[in-house]
Amino acid sequence: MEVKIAPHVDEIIRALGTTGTTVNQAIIKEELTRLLEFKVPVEEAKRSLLKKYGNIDIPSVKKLSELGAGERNIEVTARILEINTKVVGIKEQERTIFMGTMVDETGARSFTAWEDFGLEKGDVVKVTNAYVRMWQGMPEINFGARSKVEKLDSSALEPLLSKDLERPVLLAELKEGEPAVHTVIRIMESAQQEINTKNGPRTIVTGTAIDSTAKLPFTSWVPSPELTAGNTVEIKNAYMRSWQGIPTINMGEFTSVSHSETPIDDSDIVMVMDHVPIRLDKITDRDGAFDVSIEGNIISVRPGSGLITRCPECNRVIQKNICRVHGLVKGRNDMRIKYILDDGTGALTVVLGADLTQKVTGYSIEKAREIAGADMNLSVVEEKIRGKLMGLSMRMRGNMTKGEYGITLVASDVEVTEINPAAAAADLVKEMEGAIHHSPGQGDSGPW
Amino acid sequence: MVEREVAWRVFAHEFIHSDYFFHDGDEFSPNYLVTPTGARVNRLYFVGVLTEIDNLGAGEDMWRARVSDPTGAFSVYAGQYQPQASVFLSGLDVPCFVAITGKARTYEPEDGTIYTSVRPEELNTANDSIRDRWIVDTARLTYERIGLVRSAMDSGLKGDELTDMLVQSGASPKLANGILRAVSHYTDLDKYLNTLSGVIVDALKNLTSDDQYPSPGTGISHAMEEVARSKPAEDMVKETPARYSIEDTQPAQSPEPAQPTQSPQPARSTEPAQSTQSPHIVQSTEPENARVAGKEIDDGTTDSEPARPEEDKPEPDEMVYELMGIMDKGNGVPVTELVDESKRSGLTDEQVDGAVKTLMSEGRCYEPRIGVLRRV
Repeated sequence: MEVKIAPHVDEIIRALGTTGTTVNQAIIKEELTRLLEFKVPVEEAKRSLLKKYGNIDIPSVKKLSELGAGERNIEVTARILEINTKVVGIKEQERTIFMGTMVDETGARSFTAWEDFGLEKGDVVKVTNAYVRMWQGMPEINFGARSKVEKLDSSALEPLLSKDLERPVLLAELKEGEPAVHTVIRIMESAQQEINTKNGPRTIVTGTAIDSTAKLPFTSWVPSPELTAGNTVEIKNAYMRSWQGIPTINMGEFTSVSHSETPIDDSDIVMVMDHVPIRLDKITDRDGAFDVSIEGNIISVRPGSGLITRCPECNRVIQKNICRVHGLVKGRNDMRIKYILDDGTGALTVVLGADLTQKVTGYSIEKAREIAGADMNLSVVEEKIRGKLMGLSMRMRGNMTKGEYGITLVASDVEVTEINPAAAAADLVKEMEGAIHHSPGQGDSGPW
Repeated sequence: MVEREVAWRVFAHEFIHSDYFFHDGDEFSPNYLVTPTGARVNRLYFVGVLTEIDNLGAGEDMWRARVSDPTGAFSVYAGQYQPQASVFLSGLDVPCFVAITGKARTYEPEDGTIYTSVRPEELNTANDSIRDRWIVDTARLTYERIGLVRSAMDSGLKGDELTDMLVQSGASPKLANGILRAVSHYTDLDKYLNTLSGVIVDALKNLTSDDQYPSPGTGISHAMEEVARSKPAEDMVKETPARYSIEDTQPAQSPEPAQPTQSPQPARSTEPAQSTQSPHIVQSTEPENARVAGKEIDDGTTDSEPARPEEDKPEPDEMVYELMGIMDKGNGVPVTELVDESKRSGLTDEQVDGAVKTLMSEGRCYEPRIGVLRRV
């Protein structure tokens, strides 16, 4: 395919002209043609010529949601949602840096400005030659002395103030790593905790929050009297961090915690408190879930279920009494079941420990050893469990995490669910016959 | 992390009426069967009555099983790559309740017809309680899909707008995608949804009329004992001189509801083995084709309304059931003889037909061979 290169050549000459560089048009044309012959993409070819002749790096224009780790020389246009100063020690010198959150129409990101650009909350800025670093597991925009910050007319860019950020979000909607979290929660339980940090001991508040959609753990790095069980609080500018695979609300020094005018009542949270099972397609959408209830059929019992052996030192599952860390050890017997739970809308792996294994199978570890026999045939136990469980309807509670091996729920409780099929069928028939416009049997003598 | 494919819940009726198979991307991406209600089935889970098991193995080990739910039957093929499934199937006595997780497969002979089947991944014996629960769950999910497909058809929306609407209405993005595909692929979808709704209502009603039916929680062994205990009631047999020929009525060889074939569904109109005359000769020699046998049989005359259990008068079911027991000399009862005998007892063709269907869907009788019925 023939690319028309004349306009691109003109563009390069123009761009070089802004830096006072003049280059022979023929040379540019020749080099550009050459690069294109090598099938270098046009944009990349232009960038490389600008760099070569004018030492110009064209920043790539990005939206906040597109930013990935390690990107450099980017240009973003966003509104400062929140900005705070922080004094840090760099090379034994005290220095003031600016940390905050910025938003555009695609989302919010935290940022760090290493210089004073005179930024204020509400400013709309175009930042050129910024870069992205991972900070607490999320991409963060950084800009400093070599970046250019241009304030734009803020009233002309109203859409940049994402309306969604004004609205408190529900706990079930919160994603890992989200900055600038605005939510209204009721504190279920909370406790002060002494922890050791690099800078000595510190008091933090940890606990559980609840709303009409979910429960989530929280950590406040700053003690607040509002974070007391029973209170409903509105939280602004918190951030989400994953703790052991579960999204956790984090409140730091810039987070505001205030008493909410509209309390969350018991009736609002009844679905969560009563452990009404959530459909799997809804739950597997989330990044993780805390103490959720789910229901479905066991459609597969996975290998490695039943009687297992663990290393007495590190608890790893071992085979033939050889731990890959501790070598030859005297293994300790344990039981577990890993199965796939599926409700027709979603699927995940559930892990049951020894107690729950006994609850659903009736096998104690001793009984399982008996089944395995003198030669410890573990597959017999696994087969027995598969035969007992495959197909059953189960309800369970636990924490759900997403990882390399898929979605997993470690159960804290499990029970076989029984329904009265006749009653359930009658209910559904009533519902269907109420809704069916054309009664079956009439007018359906067609091809089907 | 590759997301695990959901095991969809679809009734056999919908599964065998699905003929839209697609796969996106490269050769390693999964295949999907899109059903009329938009289920995008790569994997499915069902519980039913194992009614037939054949070793097709001419040299290679290939087992074919038929698993019946109240609306029809799934064909299950287990070959050399499913050694556990083959071993499991070969060790079962028909009939029994089975729970199966498997992959949707299709077979497409040259004439353009598509036959669906299941390649099992995990199997287990089940009981009536698990089966009943599956029926209720599957009915609920199918009914929801029917509602979504209807709203998609009524909305007049297309593409992304339609997807958004469906997701707003509670569909997962996958289901929304399936519904878009189903709506554009299947012709006469409205009619089929009506038929399917009727079939589901019938299946549910069978669960609600639980006279003589083992209560939930009892295992299959218990169910069989109960059947064995019930005594034949010979005084129910009365002389009726009515003449009967098989061509006149629906032989009810399949638990599927009647499907008139005067105007067969376009995609199936060329199905070679589909006979409207004599179902007994419907027998294919091709292994993959063998599933056609015994399916979609019809006399082409009766009303398409699926048989309903008559709650006030359960006698026809019970009479036929008793007759089946009395007449069985060990190898089952030919349908023709059973119909003749039942008519002598004062039943009509429709009653016999309905009774056989009910008994089959309740798992109380099965079809060991084409044209032969036997009590469980």
